[in-house]
Amino acid sequence: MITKEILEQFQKGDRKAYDTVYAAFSAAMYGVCLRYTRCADDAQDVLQEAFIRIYRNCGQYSLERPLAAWIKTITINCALTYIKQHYRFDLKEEDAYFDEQHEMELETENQEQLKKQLLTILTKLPDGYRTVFNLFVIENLTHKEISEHLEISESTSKTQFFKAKRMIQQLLEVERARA
Amino acid sequence: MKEDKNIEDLFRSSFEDFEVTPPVQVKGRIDRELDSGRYTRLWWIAGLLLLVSVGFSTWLFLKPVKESFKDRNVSVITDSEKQDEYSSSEGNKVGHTEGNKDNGSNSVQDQSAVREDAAKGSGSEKMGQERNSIALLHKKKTVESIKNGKLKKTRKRSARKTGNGTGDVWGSSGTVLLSDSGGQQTGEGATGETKNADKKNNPEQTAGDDNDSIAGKEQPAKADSSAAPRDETAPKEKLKKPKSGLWMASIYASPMFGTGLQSPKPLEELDEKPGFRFSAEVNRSLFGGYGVSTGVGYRSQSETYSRSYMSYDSIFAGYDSIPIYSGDTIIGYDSVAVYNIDSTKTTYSQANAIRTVFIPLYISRQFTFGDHWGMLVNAGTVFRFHTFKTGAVDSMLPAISLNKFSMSVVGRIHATYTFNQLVFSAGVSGGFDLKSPLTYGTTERRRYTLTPEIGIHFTF
Repeated sequence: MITKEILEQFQKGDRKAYDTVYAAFSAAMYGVCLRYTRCADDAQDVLQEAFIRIYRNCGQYSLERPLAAWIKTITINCALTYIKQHYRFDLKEEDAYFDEQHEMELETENQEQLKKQLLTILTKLPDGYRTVFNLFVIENLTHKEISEHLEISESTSKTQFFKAKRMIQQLLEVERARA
Repeated sequence: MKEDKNIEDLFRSSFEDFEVTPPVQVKGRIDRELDSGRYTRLWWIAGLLLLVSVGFSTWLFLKPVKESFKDRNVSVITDSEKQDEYSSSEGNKVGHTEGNKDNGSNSVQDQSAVREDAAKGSGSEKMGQERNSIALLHKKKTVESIKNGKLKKTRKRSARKTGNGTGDVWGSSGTVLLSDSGGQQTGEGATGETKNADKKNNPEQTAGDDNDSIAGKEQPAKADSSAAPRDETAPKEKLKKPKSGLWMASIYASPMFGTGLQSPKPLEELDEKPGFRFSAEVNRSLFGGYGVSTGVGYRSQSETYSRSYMSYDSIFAGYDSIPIYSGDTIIGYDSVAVYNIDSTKTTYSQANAIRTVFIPLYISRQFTFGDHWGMLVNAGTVFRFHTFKTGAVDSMLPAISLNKFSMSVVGRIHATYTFNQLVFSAGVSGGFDLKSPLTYGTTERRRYTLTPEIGIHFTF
């Protein structure tokens, strides 16, 4: 439970308040990191970088803003920076991916299992698809905002999103056929 | 299109509250990163302090010798021509303005002679008469020299080399006494005696005559070294160099006892084994017994961190009847709950060793009680650089944070015994770590030390 006192202490850079904030938001932010990265190790790196940045910029946090949104923004920005720096973020050479066979088991009985399967599908996507899909579907950004974040054109963002959906659909159909 | 929308909804709903607990190591890495960032500033401060201390020590070391004499009020005999000149000028400047005030002896003697006289009751009539008679002899000879026209020849030499009284005497043998306060005695010499003698013979003479030109301005030539006889009354042992100097090299050794693990978790334990520590330091006296110390040291420390977990294999709850007595008669039974808990305590531990090279920076204060005994007090900061040898990592133990640099606040108090230039000391050293080299998880730890310590010192 994040109280106002904790928020004020956090804003002043208090380490205990920061630990409390970490305990409250690290799981959700790790989930965000997992969605954007290829593997858990990369997600941990992003999470680490994000929370270091959160602590170092805690003075810039405004008490009027929701803390969760502020932290999520920083985490997503860290994830995007990480993707640009560490992944081959080439958005034009990924069509060949459709010619390959990708098998995916999709279990829908258990909600947690479903989440895991969907996460696995996301991690199977090429980096560009995954990033645009995440930003558009889950973060509810417009293609214009995505294009600004990723420094690509708006049409490229739309194309990437379209291809991402087509691939996900393909993977899901494979799974349905199997079922 | 509808299916597209379904996919979006599927992902949106699934990941809306998607949470996965990150591994514990991530928090450890974040903490280390944040601490290292914080300690980067401390590194700069430590470096700056070190630079300042080294620079200050160098400056003190290279400081001109005569200033040291002034500071310490010590006398040193040297043969150098340069210091002859120094003696001459100092003697004229200081000696003739302040001369004759201390003990009234005005004799031809060095500083220590004056001290000795002072102890005996300097300025006594007898001594004064003896010395004044010598002074009168000097004056007589000097007057004769002037009459014989020797003044011109000797004046130049006198002014250049010694200038006056005692300077003449010791200058002729190539030794000169330097002192700041000693100027009262050393610089005065024959002319001072002459004045005193004159004062005795002419009681009306005012005190202002002490500053008269006879002493330093016009008369030095009269007190020519060639004319002045060697003062055989000056004790030879007074020409010795001082026994102790401003510097002190020290070696300290002590065992190490650390305490302190403040944790809200009752099943945690930290057992620190006794280690050892030694250091080599150098101290520079500055003023009034105060000084600065720095050096380098090494310490070894090993500790074992343990964390226990309780597992309850079975808990049996039952009721037992306890008879209620009234006198010797049982009047009823009371039902009491009885618990039988079968638990297992599993302890996980990790042994870690820490090797530390440290640089102390102390302010020191020395006290003396009598000729041999004294006390040495140091207080300051210690900059510590650590290397670690950690034990096997167990997943049941919290992640450890290794801090390669830390600081501690340390003080020591020693009783000292001085034997010639050697000083032996024994006392206690204590302090606390501003940050522990090793941190176990989020456990807060305040480590305090209080340990006996011995030291051996050499003054120079």
